[in-house]
Amino acid sequence: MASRDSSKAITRYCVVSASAALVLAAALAFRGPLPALIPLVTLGGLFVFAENISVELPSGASISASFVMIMASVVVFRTSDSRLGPVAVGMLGGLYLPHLRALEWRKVAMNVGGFGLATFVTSSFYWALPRSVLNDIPLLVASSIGAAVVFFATNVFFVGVYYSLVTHHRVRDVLRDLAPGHFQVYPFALLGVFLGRLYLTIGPTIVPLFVVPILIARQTFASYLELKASQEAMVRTLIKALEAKDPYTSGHAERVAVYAQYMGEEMSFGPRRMERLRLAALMHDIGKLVVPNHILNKPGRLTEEEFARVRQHEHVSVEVLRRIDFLAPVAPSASGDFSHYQPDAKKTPIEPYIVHTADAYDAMTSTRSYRKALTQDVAFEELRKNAGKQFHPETVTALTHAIEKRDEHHGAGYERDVHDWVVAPPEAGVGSAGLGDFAPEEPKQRKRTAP
Amino acid sequence: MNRRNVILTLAGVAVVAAIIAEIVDSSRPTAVLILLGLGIAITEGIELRPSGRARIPTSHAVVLVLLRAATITEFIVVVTAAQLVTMFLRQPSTPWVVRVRVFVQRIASAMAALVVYRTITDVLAGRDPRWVALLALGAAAIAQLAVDEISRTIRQRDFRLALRERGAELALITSGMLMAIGYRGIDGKGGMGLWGPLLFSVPLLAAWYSFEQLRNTRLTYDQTIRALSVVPELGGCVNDGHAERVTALVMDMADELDLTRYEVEQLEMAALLHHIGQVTLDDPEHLGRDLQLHEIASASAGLLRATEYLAPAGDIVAAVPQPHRGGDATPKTALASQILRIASDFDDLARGDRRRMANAVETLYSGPGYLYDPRVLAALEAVLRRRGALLRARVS
Repeated sequence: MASRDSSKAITRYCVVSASAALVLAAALAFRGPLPALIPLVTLGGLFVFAENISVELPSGASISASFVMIMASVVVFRTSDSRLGPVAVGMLGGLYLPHLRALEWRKVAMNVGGFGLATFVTSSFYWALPRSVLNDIPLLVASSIGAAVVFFATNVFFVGVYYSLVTHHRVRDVLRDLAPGHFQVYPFALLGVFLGRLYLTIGPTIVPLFVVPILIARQTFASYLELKASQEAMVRTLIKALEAKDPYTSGHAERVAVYAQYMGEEMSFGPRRMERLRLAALMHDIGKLVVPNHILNKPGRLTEEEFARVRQHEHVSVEVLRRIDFLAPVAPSASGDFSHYQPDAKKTPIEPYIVHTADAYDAMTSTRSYRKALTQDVAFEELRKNAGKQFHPETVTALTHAIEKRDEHHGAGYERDVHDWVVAPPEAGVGSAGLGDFAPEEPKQRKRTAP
Repeated sequence: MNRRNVILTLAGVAVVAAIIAEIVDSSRPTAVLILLGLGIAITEGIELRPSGRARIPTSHAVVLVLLRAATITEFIVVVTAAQLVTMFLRQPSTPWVVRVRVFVQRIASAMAALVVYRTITDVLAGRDPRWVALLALGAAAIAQLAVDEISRTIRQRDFRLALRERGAELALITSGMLMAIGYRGIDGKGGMGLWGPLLFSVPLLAAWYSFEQLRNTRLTYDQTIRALSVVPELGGCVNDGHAERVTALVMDMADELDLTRYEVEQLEMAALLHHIGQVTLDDPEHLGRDLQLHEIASASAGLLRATEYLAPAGDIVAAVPQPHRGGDATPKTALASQILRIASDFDDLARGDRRRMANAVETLYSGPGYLYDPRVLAALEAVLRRRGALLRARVS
């Protein structure tokens, strides 16, 4: 019942928004001059085109140059005093093909209303300024920034109310989420105002000169995102292949990458450094692909020879990372020896230590063929006990703080990706990342350490 | 003082000089010329680097602005001064021969732009100023790129002219024209001074940023594939260097058989990763040769097909065990998979040892007729002969 009410409220809101814009457009058509056809078709068409070729970023946000056309239309139609011109261009924002194809009429109506009314408010702001603003460049720059603020505030308000109705979040919270997007409107506003000014001198001929480089940039950027996604998919495919060989470590690489990112965030890593850390963490065990399945899945102790085969994976992982320039600086992340904390090695990047700590934490809080998962408290205690010895102290502080801050729970009782065991692992066992003394040591046999 | 500080200091000096010039005599465009010279020097370092193509400096766009801001003498002085400064400020690792060559090339391209621009504006004086300006600027931009292209052709002795995939050049031409028109407008109307080129450089910078991102990602992607290609070798599944040798061979054979650029790219990926699936199999050695070939190809193809970008390479690998007659692959995929199979089988026999290569070719020729495509065997032979690996003609 509640959801039906909510749906009705959304429909009502969208219809009211679109109707308000249409009534406004009709009033402007009766009271003022009609817009010239060529600029209306040119700028309106480009606005629709720009909306439909927006590039979606991995973060979920999207970039579109459509606002440039709105600002250009505000400037162009000012000379003919046609208030309807920019509003009509703005209302074309409803012609977004994915919405039309999916017959999402409420979204179409919301965009017609939101863009149309926001453009009206923006053009009103610009109309209030003296006409001479076009010839005074510093004033034109200042006014375009003001117009951008007006447009963004109005448009975000309309969108914010819509999303508040859809998600049942408070309008204030939705607006807070949308607010960071305002940075991209300022350069677009400047470009739009200057493009409009040039349009008045040269006419529509100027438009291709502006659109062509934007289109090329857009196409190249889309290729970049596609290639990046492809690389990610390839790495994940190989990790899946690895997990198919060793089901006991299902989800391990993903979790190590997440924990590594937690630590990166705590240490204020930039986006590029964070991406490098994430990929290195994701690929730190890639060399396990060369270890035969029966050794990876052996529940008991490993022979000397088997242990050597397992250790070979570190060499392979390091070799793979070393051959990729972007990841070469953090290649030791894949080596247990190199990432073991060395207090004297001041110049060593911290990434290998981060991956080592994340790896050990996940090993302790996951059930393996040789022992069941430990509790989070035991894992934390073990990390803290060995901070400054086996683990870099900063990484231990960062990881424990990040997990506590998020109120997350891992380990015994909170495991995901749980495997169906053929032979149930023991409660405790060798290789528990420093907890190997839980099992009696046999002479001349080396312990298997946590990967 | 390091290079970065030298550049910042020079930029600071140029800005101060521009301010002084403006205060002393604001009727002359000296300040603008100094700043445009600075713009040329800075944008020399901002290059569009499309994949597999020569770099294009964005300074060409600033040169177009300078064409509209300066007299002939001023133009020559500013361009020469800016390029001289740039020559000294290039990366310390750049040899002086290269610095001087680039300097000469840039001066030549700027002069070509000047001659073309002035000629068109003089010849078409009195016509519609909009079209004259657009035509002259467009032709001047193309003239600069033509000089670069001629220089590259002479240097690399590669006289093929590719007109496709010229997006970077198009972005530079259109943005440069927009920046130049933004500076002075048309017939004294619509000009925005330095604000114009500054703002209208944004689309060009967006294109530059996209090309940089794409280039870096492609580099990492290619390196990732090459790094993963050695995993089976590091695991002792195949001979050391197998993937690298097979890839080099299939590239030459593809060239011999006139495959398209896209087909060559996919074949390269397939060659690098055709054994990757072997590491997911437990003990494939116990299988017979044919079954082993099927299992490995199937496992490798499965991994490649899981990634959309590599799926065509997966199809090539999947078709490798099929004989050249009677397989169900499309003709193009069948040809690519034959190239890969023959190159891989050849390398298994020769193992990179030149003394074994003639015998390896003979062994392949003596295989069953349905197994190997004679066209591809001939291509292999031609490639090996060109490399000097086969000294005498094959005894048939």
